Amino acid sequence: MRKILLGTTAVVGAVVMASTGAMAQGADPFRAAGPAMTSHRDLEVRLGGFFRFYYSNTDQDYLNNGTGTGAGRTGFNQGKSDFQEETEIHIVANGKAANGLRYGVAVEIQNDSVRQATSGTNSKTSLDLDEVWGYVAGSFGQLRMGDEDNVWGLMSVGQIANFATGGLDGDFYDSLSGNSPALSQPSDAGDNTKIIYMSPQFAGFDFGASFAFNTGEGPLSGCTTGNASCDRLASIETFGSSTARRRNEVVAALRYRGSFAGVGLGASAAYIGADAVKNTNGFGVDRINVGALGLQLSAYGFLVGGQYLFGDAGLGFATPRLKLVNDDRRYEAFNVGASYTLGQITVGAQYGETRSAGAQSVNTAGLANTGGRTDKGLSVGGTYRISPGIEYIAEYTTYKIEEAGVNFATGGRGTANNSVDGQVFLTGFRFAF
Amino acid sequence: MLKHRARAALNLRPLAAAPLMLLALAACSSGRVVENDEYNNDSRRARVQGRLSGEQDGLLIMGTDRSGRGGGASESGALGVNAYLWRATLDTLSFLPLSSADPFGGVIITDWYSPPATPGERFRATAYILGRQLRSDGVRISVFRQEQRNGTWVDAPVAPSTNTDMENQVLARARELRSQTAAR
Repeated sequence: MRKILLGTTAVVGAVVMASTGAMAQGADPFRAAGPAMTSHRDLEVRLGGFFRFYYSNTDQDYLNNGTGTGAGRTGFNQGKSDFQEETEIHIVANGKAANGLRYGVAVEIQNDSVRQATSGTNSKTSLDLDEVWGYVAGSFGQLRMGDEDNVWGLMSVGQIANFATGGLDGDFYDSLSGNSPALSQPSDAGDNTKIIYMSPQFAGFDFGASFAFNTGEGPLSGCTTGNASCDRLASIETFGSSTARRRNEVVAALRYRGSFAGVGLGASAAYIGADAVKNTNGFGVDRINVGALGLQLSAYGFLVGGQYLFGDAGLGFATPRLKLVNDDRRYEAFNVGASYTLGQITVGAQYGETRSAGAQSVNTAGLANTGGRTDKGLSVGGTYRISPGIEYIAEYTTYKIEEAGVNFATGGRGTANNSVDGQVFLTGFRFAF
Repeated sequence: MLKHRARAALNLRPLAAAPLMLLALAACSSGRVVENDEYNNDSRRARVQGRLSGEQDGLLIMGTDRSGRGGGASESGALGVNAYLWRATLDTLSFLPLSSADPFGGVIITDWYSPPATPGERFRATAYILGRQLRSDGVRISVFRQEQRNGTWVDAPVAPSTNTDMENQVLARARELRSQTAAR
């Protein structure tokens, strides 16, 4: 038997060494016979998936407003109940070269539940890509590149999202019809194409930094229609609030994880900074300078944590603030949460609040909305893990937005309807393989 | 505005200094490699615990399971050594009474055993499984033999091929187990 094995080793080893040279792995009798090009011994490719099905009950202001065309009366009425599904397919490849270098690619395909049917997209079940990134890693740390969150998103602690659909970072946004709250969750900056370095861990500490030129995702570095939509837009003469986009986004984060007498401790601190697309013929735009802190403790099934963000930014830490007269309000946000896990059940709650300069919409006459804005959200819910990969969830989320000068019924400026609130109840199943 | 920015810069100065200190630390010592699952993942799939497949993360569609931390058959998380070699060694040595087995260190030690046909001699075996890889040199077996002379057990030599034969038995069994798993 051994002779056969060793014989196979020699033959396969010779083939591999001859064809791949220094990258060949150690001789292995269990390596599939054949040319090295067809051997996937050193690579691991996995297919994963996700599916959810929820009943959604939504009660939101200005959606059930009778008939008529007056202010705040659109003539459309919406019901409360709906079913919704969402699915994701993940393909992940990981490998390790003979010199110890680890590498891989992750591709996340999803049906985008948020997208409306448009001329280019026939339905809301169209597939698109969420995160797509590759990495190389070794004793130097990890270099990750692609459409991925910044390092505050990747390394922050303190966000309590391990119950139900994820609290204020969960699925209730999919039930809203406009007027979504800005609750400053770590992934709010999105997956713009970037390059990320993350260090090894030293005495519980690790750190990282990420850089992106702009807010664009995907392969297109130019634009299909109009210069204003270009990823590489640097300045613009006629400015709208939608062109207040980030450029040269730099994020640096430091994280600590450890445990003391059975209590798990996590802490993180980050700087989020970005220039903005310039306005060459009018008001300026402030650079984003935001500090972010997070802390969490875990013991005996309890997890408590919170995050605090502060600095110069607009509506959320990922949006630049326009330099409008009387509208230099600083950005400040926090979220706190707690969860408890006992066996297969987790229950939790998360509260978040953001205070910001607000919508800052500018009309054609140059009049700006300068009222400060407050977004508040509270989510409570629970998860029952039926078996590995199948969960039943129930979650109730309520939120309120207040901004002087904004009419939330019409979306424009106005003295009426300066606040909006909504409640979403979700319950259903989710599966992962 | 400038005042705000200056204040923000002041607040953030310690944050900027800390990574620099860590960079200096990185230069003089090598840290622990941080795995991909230690970073936040905001995909909906990542929020579900466990996988329907029972695998650690997704279905293996090509290549070799490199997870090494539970779920995978070839590198089971409960074992410190290759699972096929471990099971094959236990199978092969099952005719001897087991004295101790350490799945993390990969050591199996049997007790003495006298075959009914030859009550005057007894055997004992020690097996070492040398790593996580399924390799032909991944297992070492030493067989010890004693003979009864004048009422006491004294050490006696073992045929040189015995150890190798036992190892070959283990490898054959390991290969069998692996092909059974792969066929599933």
